[in-house]
Amino acid sequence: MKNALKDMLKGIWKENPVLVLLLGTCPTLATTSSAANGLAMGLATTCVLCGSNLVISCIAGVVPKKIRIPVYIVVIATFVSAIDMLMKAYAPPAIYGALGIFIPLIVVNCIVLGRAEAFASKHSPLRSIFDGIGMGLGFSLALTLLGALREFISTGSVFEVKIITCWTTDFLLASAAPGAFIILGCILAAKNYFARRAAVKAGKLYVPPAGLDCRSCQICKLNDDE
Amino acid sequence: MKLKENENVLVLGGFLGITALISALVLALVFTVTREPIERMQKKSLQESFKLLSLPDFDNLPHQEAKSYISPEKFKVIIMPVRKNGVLKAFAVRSISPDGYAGEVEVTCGFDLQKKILAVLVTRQQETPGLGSNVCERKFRKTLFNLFKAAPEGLPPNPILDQFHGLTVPENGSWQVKRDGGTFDFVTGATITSRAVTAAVEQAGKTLHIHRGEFMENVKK
Repeated sequence: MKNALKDMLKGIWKENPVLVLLLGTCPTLATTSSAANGLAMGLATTCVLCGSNLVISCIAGVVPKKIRIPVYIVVIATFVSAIDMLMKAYAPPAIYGALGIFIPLIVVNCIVLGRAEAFASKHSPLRSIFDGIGMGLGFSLALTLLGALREFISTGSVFEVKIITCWTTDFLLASAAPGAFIILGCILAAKNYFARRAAVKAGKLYVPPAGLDCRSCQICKLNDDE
Repeated sequence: MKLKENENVLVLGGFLGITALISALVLALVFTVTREPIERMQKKSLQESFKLLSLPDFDNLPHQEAKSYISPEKFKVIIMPVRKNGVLKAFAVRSISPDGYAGEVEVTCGFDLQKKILAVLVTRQQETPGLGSNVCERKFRKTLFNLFKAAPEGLPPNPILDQFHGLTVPENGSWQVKRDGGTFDFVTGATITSRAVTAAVEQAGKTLHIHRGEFMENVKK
């Protein structure tokens, strides 16, 4: 149980998928034009992540190694399509209207496949679910932060509530794609600055968490199986 | 030999096939369960969109008397007569422009009997959220001061869609946004969406010019 909690918390800060692992950058940049969109995309991804992590950690023992990636993708795509249909049927139209176009994007989100390969296939179903929740929440948090910043800089409002009422002309750069890159870059710089300062204060050398940089990425090494 | 280390192509193919089969079964099940609720949901949102079209009182089901046409510019246009006690009162016209930034933009307009535009709504679109979608969405703006007040009644404003209200589509000549030398405002950064909406409204009006007679005859009978 203690492990499970640890698995969950690490996704939120220490191994945050967007701010540390830099996974799933495409939906991060594309869907965060407003805080509400970012939050909705984050929560939908969290649901898929939990479901796919659970199923994949259950079947990982029997899936032949050579075809594990196609099998994982089929599992993920099934979850995404099912959630899409269920939301169309039961979610309020306003929510589906805002989210509908992003849901199919979740299939190609690297975080989902990344966690399946790097965590769920090697750990117990319970720990995998908690890993899914943690990673999903970390993803939601980062997306909401980026979305809120972009929405505020472009229109002066957050969650569609106007904070500065005299803000009449939209600053379009922030809500367009280039603004997403610039603001995400600023957030990453700030995150690294604070992480390094904390490390220096504690008298340690600042290194990225082991196994998280590109050199040790498992997905890239599909063809040289030992 | 254990399944996990198996490298026989037939075994691998078979495993993948079985996986796909199971997922297809799961999806078929979900599809069957959700088909009816999805239809109900779509019907409900259709009726709600009629309420926003600023139409006069009516008691028929316009979408059940709908007729489909192809407009002069080859847009798909559906004309729905709006009646009260069998008397024609107005038209609801749905027009689908294929030229949105991300696929089709479906516009539904209310027209009175003189073919004047009562209201314009975008009923289906997949434009970029926060950019193209600003052209399409009607929303009351919230501020910190009215956060807890109930939203006002009626049609929420949208400067781009509102500029068509009260106008009549000319029988000759076309409607264009200012960027293309026309008279209609557009949103910078979302010109393509603005164009698609303008064209859809124009085609709705032109189709109504051509086919209005068919519905008027029904009135005389």
